[in-house]
Amino acid sequence: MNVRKVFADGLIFNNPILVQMVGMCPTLAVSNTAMNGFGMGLAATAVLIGSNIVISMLRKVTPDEIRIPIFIVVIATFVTMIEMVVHAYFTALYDALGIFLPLIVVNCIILARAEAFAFKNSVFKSAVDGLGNGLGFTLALTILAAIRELFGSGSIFGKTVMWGSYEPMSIIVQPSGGFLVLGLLLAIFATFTAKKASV
Amino acid sequence: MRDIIKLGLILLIITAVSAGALSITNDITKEIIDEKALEKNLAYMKEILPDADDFELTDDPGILSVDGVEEVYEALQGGNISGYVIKTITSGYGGGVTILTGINVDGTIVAIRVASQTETPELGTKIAEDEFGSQFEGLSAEKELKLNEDVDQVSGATVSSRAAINGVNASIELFNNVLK
Amino acid sequence: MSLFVIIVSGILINNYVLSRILGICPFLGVSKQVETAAGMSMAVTFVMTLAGTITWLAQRFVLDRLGLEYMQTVTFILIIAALVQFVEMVIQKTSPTLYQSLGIYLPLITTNCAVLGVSILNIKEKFGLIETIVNSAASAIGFSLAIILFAGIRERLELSNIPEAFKGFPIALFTASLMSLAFLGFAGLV
Repeated sequence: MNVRKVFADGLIFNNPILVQMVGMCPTLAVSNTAMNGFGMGLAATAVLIGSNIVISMLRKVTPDEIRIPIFIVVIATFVTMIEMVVHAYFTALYDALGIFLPLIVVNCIILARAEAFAFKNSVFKSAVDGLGNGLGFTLALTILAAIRELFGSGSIFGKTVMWGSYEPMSIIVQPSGGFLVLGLLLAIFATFTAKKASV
Repeated sequence: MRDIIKLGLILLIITAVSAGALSITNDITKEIIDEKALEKNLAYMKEILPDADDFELTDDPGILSVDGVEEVYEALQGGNISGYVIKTITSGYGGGVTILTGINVDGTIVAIRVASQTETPELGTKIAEDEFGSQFEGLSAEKELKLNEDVDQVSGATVSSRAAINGVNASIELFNNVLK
Repeated sequence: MSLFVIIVSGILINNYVLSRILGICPFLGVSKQVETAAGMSMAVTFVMTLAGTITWLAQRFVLDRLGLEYMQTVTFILIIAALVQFVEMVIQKTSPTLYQSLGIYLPLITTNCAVLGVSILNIKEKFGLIETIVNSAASAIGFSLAIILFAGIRERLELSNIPEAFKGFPIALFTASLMSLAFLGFAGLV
């Protein structure tokens, strides 16, 4: 499997949110503003790359029976480290992400990539896989968040974009709206990929 | 049996390495985190007691005697203590509510600020707004304040309002028992 | 916070799935049939209540005492993983049919953000031991309520005529959106 394919798979064809449909919790919760979605995506990507690298490095010495607990400790360690870094250097993002920052540890994407890829592949390829999946997650999350922020608050990345008299539909940035927009996005994506497949 | 011990040992080693890595990261970042928190609080404190020219953190152990009190700052004017800003954290709806209460040495509440909260948007978050907070200004810190008697709650947000008044009352208690 | 408020809040006002958006993966994954959803809820309720309690004890008597607060995430998730293993073994012995129908979703309770979520929130809200136990149980009941209601609706949806693009997840998400909207009505109840 060449490196480019590994990357492209993670980014698009096997996109964590739109195709694998994992990591739903943070997807719905932090996609209320584009900045939060983007920030969360990058934090998760950092954890993913870090944990993929370490787990790949340890794969020859990890006993099969306890591989899951070991994955968990490695992932949790990176999550805590990223948490501390974000708290210190990006305090506004830290406050906005709240409990979802430590919850990156149970983001199924990370455990799934560890089990499916990092445990069986070289360090370099695992790092690329982490990068691809992480960026794929970030991309889908940011797009979803941008849409929600646009219609729900009339802005993108904090800059007001909609015309002055636009009355934002604040329900869009609430949980209910999150479910709605994600559902629409998935339906559109499904139609798009179905058309491509039938062509 | 030997297998289980070996497995347990490996897990223990990895956890120990994890603890070590986190301990180092913690040491590096904790300072910065504390500094930033102090900066943020300083801005609020200047709003509450604008006449003070300096604020100093007390390390009087007596401040721990009241539940909910986290830190106490002495407000200094010309070298003398003109008042106190007391930081409390009380249980609200969505987590801890951090309140900064400014009390003059003569026993009046100057103002309060909600430094942080994660309450329900449009409901609990109203405790951070002027309409609620300004009710505390000028009240006497002689005794505990009662919700809906001395201060009106935010309607539909009893828990958040209670958290706020509990914080202020803790400051009042501390002021009367320890700081006066 | 009075225990009554904690209970009402956990089940209705701050419902873990529909308001806090926690526990979504199993919510979407195990809700095709009411029976499976009910079985899953019982397992999750048991794990959540126990996990919330044990993690609280670990925080109080180990992490805080030794000044190891930054090990919270690592410790909590290990406790939860061990607990789920234990529950798996128990279910396998007592009800093989339930074990079969839950399939992979049983070990996945470990990554159910609601379980880790409630553990972290108990500490954040500075609850005492009793409040922790009550909150963990109430939050779990809220999760169960959401997932069982959802399963009931999805069972009906299976028999309806749905446009191709919306089949499966999209229509499920729309349903969840409406449920979440309905539960918004509980805000300001207390």
